[in-house]
Amino acid sequence: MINTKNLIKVFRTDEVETTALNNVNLEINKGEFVAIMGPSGCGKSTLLNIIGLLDNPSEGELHFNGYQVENYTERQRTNLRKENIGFVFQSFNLIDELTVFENVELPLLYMKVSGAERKRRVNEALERMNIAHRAKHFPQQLSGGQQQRVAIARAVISNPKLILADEPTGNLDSANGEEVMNLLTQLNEEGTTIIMVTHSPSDADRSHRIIQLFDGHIVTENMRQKL
Amino acid sequence: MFKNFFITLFRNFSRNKFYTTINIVGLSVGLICTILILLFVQDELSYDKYNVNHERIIRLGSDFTLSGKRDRVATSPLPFGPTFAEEFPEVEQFVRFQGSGRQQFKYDDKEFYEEHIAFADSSVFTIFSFPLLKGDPQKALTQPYSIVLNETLAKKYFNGEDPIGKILLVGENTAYTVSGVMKDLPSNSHFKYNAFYSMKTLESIRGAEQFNSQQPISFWSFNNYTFLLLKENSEADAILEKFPAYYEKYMKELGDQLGVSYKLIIQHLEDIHLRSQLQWDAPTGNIKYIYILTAIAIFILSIASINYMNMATARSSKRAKEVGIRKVVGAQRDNIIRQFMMESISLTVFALIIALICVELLLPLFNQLVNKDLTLSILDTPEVILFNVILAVLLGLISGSYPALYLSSIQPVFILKGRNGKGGANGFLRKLLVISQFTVSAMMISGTIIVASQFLYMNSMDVGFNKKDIVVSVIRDSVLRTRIDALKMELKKNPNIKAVATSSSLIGFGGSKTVHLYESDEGMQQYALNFNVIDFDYIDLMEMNILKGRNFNREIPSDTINAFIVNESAAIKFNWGENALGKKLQVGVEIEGVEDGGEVQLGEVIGVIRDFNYQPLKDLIEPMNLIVSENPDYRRNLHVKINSENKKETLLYIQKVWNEFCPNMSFGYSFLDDRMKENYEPEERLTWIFSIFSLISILIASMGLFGLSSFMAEQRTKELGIRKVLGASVAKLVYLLTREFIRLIVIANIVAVPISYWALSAWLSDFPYHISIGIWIFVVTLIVSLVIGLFTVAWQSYRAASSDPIKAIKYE
Repeated sequence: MINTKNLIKVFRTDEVETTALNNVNLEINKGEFVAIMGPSGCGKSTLLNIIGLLDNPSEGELHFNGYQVENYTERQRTNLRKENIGFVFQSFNLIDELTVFENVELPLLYMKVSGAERKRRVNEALERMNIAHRAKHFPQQLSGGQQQRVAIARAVISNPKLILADEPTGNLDSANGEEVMNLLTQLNEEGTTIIMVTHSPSDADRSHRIIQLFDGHIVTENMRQKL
Repeated sequence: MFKNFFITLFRNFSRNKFYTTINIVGLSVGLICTILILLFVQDELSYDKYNVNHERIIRLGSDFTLSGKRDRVATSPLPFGPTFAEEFPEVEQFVRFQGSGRQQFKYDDKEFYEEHIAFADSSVFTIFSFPLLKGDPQKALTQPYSIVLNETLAKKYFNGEDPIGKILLVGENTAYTVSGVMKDLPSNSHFKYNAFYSMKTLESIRGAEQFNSQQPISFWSFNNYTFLLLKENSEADAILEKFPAYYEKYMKELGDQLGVSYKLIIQHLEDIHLRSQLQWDAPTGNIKYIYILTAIAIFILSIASINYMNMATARSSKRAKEVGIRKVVGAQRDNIIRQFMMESISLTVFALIIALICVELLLPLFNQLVNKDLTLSILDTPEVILFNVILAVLLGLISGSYPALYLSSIQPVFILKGRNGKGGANGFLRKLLVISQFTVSAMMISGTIIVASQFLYMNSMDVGFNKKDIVVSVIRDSVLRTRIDALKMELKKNPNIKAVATSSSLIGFGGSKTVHLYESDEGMQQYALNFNVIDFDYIDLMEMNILKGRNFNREIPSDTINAFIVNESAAIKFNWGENALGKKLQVGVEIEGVEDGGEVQLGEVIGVIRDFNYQPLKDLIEPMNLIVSENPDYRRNLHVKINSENKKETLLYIQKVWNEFCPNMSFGYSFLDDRMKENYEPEERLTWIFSIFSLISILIASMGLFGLSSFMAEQRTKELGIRKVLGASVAKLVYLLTREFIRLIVIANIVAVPISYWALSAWLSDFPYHISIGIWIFVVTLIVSLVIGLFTVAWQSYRAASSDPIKAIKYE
């Protein structure tokens, strides 16, 4: 599903040049659950952003579902992203001015889904995330765990083939973190590919494969024998 | 999708009430000013266009030069009308107006003085759209001594009665038959006439032969406003082209004798109000003021628009997260642009609704200010309303464009990890916007100072005579004119009356002009010289200054025959230098073959008087001649110098004496200084308009600055906290926060100086007597801007600087 060849990402400011990713070669198959680990600043999030088409690599190739996408225009990337990728962030990234329902509904608006269909799908997703009773609340009125469940509902609303999760449990206590991981695992079991950046070894335990990054290189790839 | 836009919009607004209020108030006030100005401009541009034939109506004016002195006047000779109709096939009809000045009207026990009345040809009602409510437009003015009143006058005198056929006594009991009632002329008419006497009346007074005379001399007296209705598809230029042949036929011979060159001026009716600039014209508007006001409207709107941009981009870091999220979940850039545009348009449309309500409430006040009768209702002015909606949407598009483009360009990857796009990233542009706002404000401030100073200057300038405490009254009664000496004696019995004098022209309003001959090395030369016929007490009453020679003297009887006092300008113009006394001067010239060539009076100069402004200050002092005469015909204006105390009693006394002498005409009077002030009404009005609008522009700019400074202070909370922990004093921090704004205001003022200087010099150059633009004006402007700016910024800065540093550091 995802294939990178000699992926390089360099950040430049006026005086400093930082190589965030250096010759990253990676292959992720459909249905996989991959965890990316490594110390702070090793390039985990950069890698995730490039895979999620939020950022462009400086060099190298990125293949998504067989298409070579690293030179896509912003419009093309957005189109690819909204059809195929859902995002879950450590800081939830919900829009404060919108209710739970409206936040989850947002991707469907940009996909021009009809009103009735939107309502049906949003309610379904909220039910599934067990947060339907909070549909009319605003994000600030919810606990962190509830917010992250809303974020996951938003990520899955468009039935993406891939979910990118950037430290999804980083801001949560263990009970809530556990619940979020259960949801992600369940989604993976239903066929969604998941790539997750994490610091937590126990979260990483849920994955099929752990990729260790250090200073922009892939250090190890452990296939886990969970399946 | 729209629903989602509006939800976000509404919730965003209600969560940021402070910024939203600043924006809406700023935009509303900007729109209020613009709508008011727009209504004013629309009205000014609509002048005389209510006439169905307006595109075909032209006015004939005269441009003549006599001995180097050029005059451009709005009037033309009496025979022009009929002879043009004969000579030029382009002319369908003509109408002439001859003003008659203030007159007393009397019906039963009602008697009042009336103004704005003219003799008019009967064609007036076919050429112009002055509808008659009563009477036959074809016949109303065909008979001598018939009069058409407007509705207001008809009501005033006949109150319910049918006025047609009734006799109205005018002036010294001349009987006019009311032959029609016309609708009051609309306010957007350059004509202000309240009534018309038939032109036939003049014909009957002067005798048909003289009135209709096509003698050469009749072509050289410019005392009529002549309007021509051109035939369909005829061009006024055709008349101009053929005019030389006409001139040759009717005017050239006498013109050459008099040494005058003559050019015909043709003005289209719709140009008269704004573009006339001729002498002897009705008070008109000025296209320059239209430009000035339009510029002010644009200024104020742009300040309000900049406020929006500034605050929207300054707060962009707060909206950046939302943009990032929207992009991550699939929003394209144009979705985001559309969203922010919609936001700003919704805001401006909302501001427009508030503005329209406020305009409706403010219109009476504004009408008073501009002396108009403007209305704003959807029925009366659909195009204005539509224009405003378009304006609001455009304003929204412009205001929203920069924030929309800026915010939509934010890359989601930068913000999703809490790394907010810095609010200061676009600081340069924001600074530029603040500078341009304060540049405009500085221009408005210095404009206000200049306009107000010029107005004060004209009112207080030394005009060469003392205009204080002089009661003036026009003497229309010919009997009273013969009894002036007795009247004077009677008046002077009151100790509060210091002096009484008469003159033919009222000082401050120009004078009469006639051809003079003056002594020069090359013999007697012609010159069209202004003159005023006065009595022996006039110069003393006016406290004028005789520089050389002597005043007229009652004891020297020959003074009324052969003595003249000229002003300094005349002595200079005639190259008399220090030797003006004794020089020969002749009033009028003999014209060969013309009996009625006018009286000729030859004499010599007995005095030179210091120049005084006998014309409005919009004109430079021209050479002039003072003549003393005991001929009652010249005693048209009565001047009574009174004590500045007990004015009321003194006026009552004058009135009592007047009534004894002239029981059939009531005493109408005004104070000379008040009358002269009327000359500067446009300037006074402009002063007010400038002051009010510049105040508003400063207010809007300050509101923006206030918003911006509070935002900046908020953004730098952490920095301030750290500085404070490290030992910075509150004063230091306030300085830190305000110094940036001070710099911007200073730069704005520097930018404004050349622009203001240029614009204001252009405006002042219209006035021959004007103040000079001193550096002090810009210094004052700078100080005013700084005080306002600092006052606005300091409070927010102080609040931020004095807050608890612990809270600040914990923040984030």
